[in-house]
Amino acid sequence: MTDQPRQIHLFLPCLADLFYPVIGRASIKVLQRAGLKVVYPREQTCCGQWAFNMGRHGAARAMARHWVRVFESAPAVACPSGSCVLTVRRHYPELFKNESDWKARAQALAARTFELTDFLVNVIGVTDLGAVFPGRAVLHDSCHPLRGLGIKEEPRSLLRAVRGLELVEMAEPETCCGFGGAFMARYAPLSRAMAMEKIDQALETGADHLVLTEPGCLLNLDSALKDRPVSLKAVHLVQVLAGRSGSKND
Amino acid sequence: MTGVREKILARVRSARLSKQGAVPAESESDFRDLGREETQYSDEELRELFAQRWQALGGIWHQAADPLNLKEILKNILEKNGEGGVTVAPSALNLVPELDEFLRSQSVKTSAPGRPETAESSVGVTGAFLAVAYSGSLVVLDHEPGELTASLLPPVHLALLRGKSLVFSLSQAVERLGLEPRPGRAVFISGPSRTADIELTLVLGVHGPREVHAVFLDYDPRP
Amino acid sequence: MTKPNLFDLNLDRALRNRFLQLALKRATGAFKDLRSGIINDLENFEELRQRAKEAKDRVLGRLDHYLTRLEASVTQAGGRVFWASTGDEVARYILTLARAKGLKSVVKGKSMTTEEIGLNPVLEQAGLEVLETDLGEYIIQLVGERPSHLIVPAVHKTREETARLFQKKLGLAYTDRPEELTRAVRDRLRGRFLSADLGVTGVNFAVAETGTLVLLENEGNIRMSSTLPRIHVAVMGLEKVVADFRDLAVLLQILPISATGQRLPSYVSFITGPGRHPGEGPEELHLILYDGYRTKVLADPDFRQVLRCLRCGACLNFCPVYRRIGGHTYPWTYSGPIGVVLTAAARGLEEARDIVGASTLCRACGQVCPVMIDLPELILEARRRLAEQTPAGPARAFDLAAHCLATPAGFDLAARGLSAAAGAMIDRQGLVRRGPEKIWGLGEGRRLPRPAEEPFRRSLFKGDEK
Repeated sequence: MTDQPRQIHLFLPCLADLFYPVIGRASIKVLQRAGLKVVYPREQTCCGQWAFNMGRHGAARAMARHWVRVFESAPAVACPSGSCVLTVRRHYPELFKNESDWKARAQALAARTFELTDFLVNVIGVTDLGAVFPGRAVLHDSCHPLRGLGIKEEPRSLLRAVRGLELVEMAEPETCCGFGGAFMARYAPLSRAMAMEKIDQALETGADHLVLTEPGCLLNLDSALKDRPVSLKAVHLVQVLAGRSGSKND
Repeated sequence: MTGVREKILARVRSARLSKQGAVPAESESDFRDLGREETQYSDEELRELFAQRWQALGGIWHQAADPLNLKEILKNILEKNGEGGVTVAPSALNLVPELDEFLRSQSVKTSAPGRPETAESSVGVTGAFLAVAYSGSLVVLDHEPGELTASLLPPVHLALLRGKSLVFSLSQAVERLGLEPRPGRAVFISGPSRTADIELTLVLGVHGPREVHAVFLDYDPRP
Repeated sequence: MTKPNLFDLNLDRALRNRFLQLALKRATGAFKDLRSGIINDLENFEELRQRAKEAKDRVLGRLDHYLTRLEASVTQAGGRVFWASTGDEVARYILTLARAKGLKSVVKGKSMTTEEIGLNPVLEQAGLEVLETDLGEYIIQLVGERPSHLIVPAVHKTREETARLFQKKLGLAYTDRPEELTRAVRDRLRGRFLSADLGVTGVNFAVAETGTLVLLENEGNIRMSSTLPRIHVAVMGLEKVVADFRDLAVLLQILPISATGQRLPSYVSFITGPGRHPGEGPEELHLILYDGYRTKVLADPDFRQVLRCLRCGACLNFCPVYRRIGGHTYPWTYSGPIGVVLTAAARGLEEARDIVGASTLCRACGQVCPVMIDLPELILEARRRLAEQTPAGPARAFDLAAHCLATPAGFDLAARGLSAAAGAMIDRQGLVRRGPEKIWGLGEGRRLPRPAEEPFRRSLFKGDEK
């Protein structure tokens, strides 16, 4: 890209904010290493995906308007979650279909809003961040970045450049892990069955780390792992890129 | 009854939406565009591909170099299966007129095509209007009586096949069928009858034939 | 809030049925692999999908034109066409025909449309002998159950269960070998095919230009049912019409690939008019054009695309929820993602409420649909319509909460509230120690994640000063 932004605004998913703040810290570190100035707009709240997925467009719109206002001045926005970016890109235009002004604002902003691995690999053009993270890692392809944004190779390119890390593949990386937002709680046994199968496949590879690009998937699998007496750890990809192998409350 | 027809059509028409989006025009592509895999096969390559796919489906493949060879092939098949008799459909006789005589010379009981006799025979012999290499399929038409039952009722089906019946793609086959002046019935046969309904275990030979032979006549049977 | 209902109970039962889990995993896995295998060999699969979508949209955009064309072609070929709005009308037509022609024994090919109508019991009650001839359908007819998968309807039955069933209902000596069980059915059905008065089948495609009905199968029972009895009745949903042979060629390629990973199934029958020769086809061919929900859905601008459906089952095979709950957990005839959106559009949102909610929106279904139905977006649209039905009070409360959450102060407050609640309910291992049983079954012993001690927003990071 010819017009690479020097400044990036960090959009931190609410799940990361509340449950895995280490993702925030790691994202900043990674973006800084990639040579960017990072701004974290403190007034951000949430993109409203959960409301949208429940069919509550009025509520989702309220959150969307705030999101647009917060990030509108950004030269570019990066987010360690593809599902939040998918919401902005695909569902904000739908939410604002009767408000052409908001719709135009949202679409303009969406065009410069990126999922983090997409941003690093395709916008900045960097895959090697000098990360060191010894171990064997297996990646789960989260549904929304994969099938919504076409992100498949980017996380792998980044992980392959990590020193000391061996990247392996599970049998069915593209199958849903069972998070699905409210689904995880509402249909807990079903969700748990899906999570356990994902964990089984990860264990079969002999990996010590299960890497996720979505805070929601991390939440789901991390919880499920508490019921398994195994040493497999679930981490977000940025934690690996930031070169840390510690606990979630790092 | 007319009342219901009109009501249904009225509902369909009123379902025409203003915000429907463009309705695709009549397709401008022709059949050749649709089967986009390699279409430049030589006759020999076409035959080889057909044979490969036919056999992968569990079909049995024979190539007859000349009339004598054909008779040997038939003898072998009949030795194993011919006990209940053979039904020869007109399309087979059109290809190989001496077939009936040959069978009689082998003391094989022949049944007239059509019911009820075909239901009792062990082997049904037909020609093949088309052979589709893409899917390993033979096409049987009901231009004449006896074709459909001869290829359905006996547990063994034997289809005689010529080079000029071979096409590559499904689209080409469908196009050729569409050109037939008097459309009647046709069936695309891709191997023996099968099911996997019980625990996904493949079983061959359910209601249709359990054994299908494609016999390629590698010579002109009617020079 | 929600409490366990019939759906939850069925779901629970399905999850605890170990054989069902194994069977569904195997079946869906096999179909997925077979499909992928074939697609890897094709260069133009995405293009084929696009063309298939267009072929279907072509007829849906001018459905009246194509249906009347089909009617004319079938009639010209010597067939008879009957239009039916309701399942009742379909059944009555067949019964009237049976009475007029002295038809008693019926052999039936697998048809989801007739399942949807619930045709068999009505015919049987009127004194007809109705025999399902597809092996899977035969098995579930014997045992009186509903199909659990679109392509392999009896996949939930073990070979031992089938063996016992045949032993009990058919007087067969016990054998659990599939070849022997299949042979037994073949032997039993053969005589019935040869002597049946009436064959009833569905239709995969009906070509308007020529009046040709196209029927796909692997066993041969549909060929039998449409060739041997003296009368053949084909029941089709309105949306099965196809413009011409060009469009047919596209759909005929993509359907078997999508359904079973086959280039073609064992048999594809092209039927134009009644038989031309005695004994080689029926004396009479009747085509019933059945509406049911179709015109209603056609009028829905968002959901009308579901009428493109080819009934291939790919969305079922790829759905991580379907493969754990199986067909019996869905409220209507159609299961999997297409079942979810079809139920919402055709039967109403209330009936679809549970299954619309029981989705992770993983989007696998939309990716594999051969006619590009946007299933995930339709699930979301169904949820939106359901949410609109929320009574004013709760809806306003929800919106108010969202407006608060959309402000930094409100969000902060909510975060603190969440922390406090979690601290009170959930221990450090994530186990719910105290909690409202009724809220989504979040009782004791369940695991929930705990929020972090300090959310990120309260950290000291202010932005780079570089």
